[in-house]
Amino acid sequence: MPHDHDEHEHTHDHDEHEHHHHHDHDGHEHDHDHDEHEHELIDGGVDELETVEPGVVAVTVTLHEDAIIVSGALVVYSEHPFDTRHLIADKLEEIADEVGEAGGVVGHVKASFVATSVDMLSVTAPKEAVQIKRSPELEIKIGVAAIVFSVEPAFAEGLVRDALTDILESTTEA
Amino acid sequence: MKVLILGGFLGSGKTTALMKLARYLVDRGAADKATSVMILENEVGAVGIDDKYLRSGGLNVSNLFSGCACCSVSGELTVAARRIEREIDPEWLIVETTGVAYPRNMQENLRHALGIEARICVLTDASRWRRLLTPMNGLLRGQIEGSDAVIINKCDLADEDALASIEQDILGFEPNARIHRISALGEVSDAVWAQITGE
Repeated sequence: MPHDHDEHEHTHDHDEHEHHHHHDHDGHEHDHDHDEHEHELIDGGVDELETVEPGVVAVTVTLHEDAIIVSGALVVYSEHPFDTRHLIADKLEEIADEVGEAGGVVGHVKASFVATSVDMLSVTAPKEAVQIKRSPELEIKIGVAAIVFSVEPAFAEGLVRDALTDILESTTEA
Repeated sequence: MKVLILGGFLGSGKTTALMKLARYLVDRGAADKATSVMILENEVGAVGIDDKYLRSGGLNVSNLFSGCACCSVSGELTVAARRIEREIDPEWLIVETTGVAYPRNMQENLRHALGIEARICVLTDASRWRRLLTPMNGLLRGQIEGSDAVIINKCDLADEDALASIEQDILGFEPNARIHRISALGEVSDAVWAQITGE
């Protein structure tokens, strides 16, 4: 793949320093706008999974050179976390298959699955056995990152959105 | 603080290899787990996946989200590296790149901004190399150029002829790269990690 030799200068002004950075991209063209974003610095940025409201499908799509990056986040509650995990696995395969069928290239389609249960242990009198209560549902945080090439961004975004919507509906139906 | 940039295309096995490399460095290091190895995880998207996996293994992980540290968040990379050195000063900082990053840009950035000489190790996926070589040629070439070491990962999924062909392709991209064959899901010799870290 031919690349233009695109030399450019970057200047970042941060609280801690003024950083003047000169890239010499031998053979690589980088298309990005440094004014488009601001980041919290270290931990740099915020994981969307930590800010999304439960039951809301959050999907964002960004472009990086030829790559289409789709990020998805969903928090659900379920009594059957393993069913949800199986469904996520199925959905990832479906996304990869659909990208391939559309003539695209799959970089990766990956997900994180974090299920949290809460147990409460209590004793209220001497010689009394501890009572243990477990919340009936687990909180499940699902992150999806799909990076693909050679398809329309809206198509890739739709695949991730549909997958997370199906997962959400499966937990609300159960 | 020594710095290793761990790069490679999407799905090449960077995170799996990193987990093993970090374990190797912790096991042979004099410092404890919290201070011997720090991982800076770069996610080009808005959601972190690999950091959760690495943290579940007890590793010390910081994140750079929503951009690529080789270009769009290059300034954040140097700020993070400087802060990690000042506040934690680990024996090793391992920067796991996004799968679309050019590690050499990050190496140059760290050198110019902080005077850090980082090593570069790039992973490749033996099972998908041939399929990706044409459509992703520019990216694969750019990732390997300038690297100190290249790991051909998932060697258990390719035959000898294929692996030899991949090695030739890699040397065509970077004649000075030291090439290692591994299957990161299996056992990896300490000697491989020692060579990759230059120790």
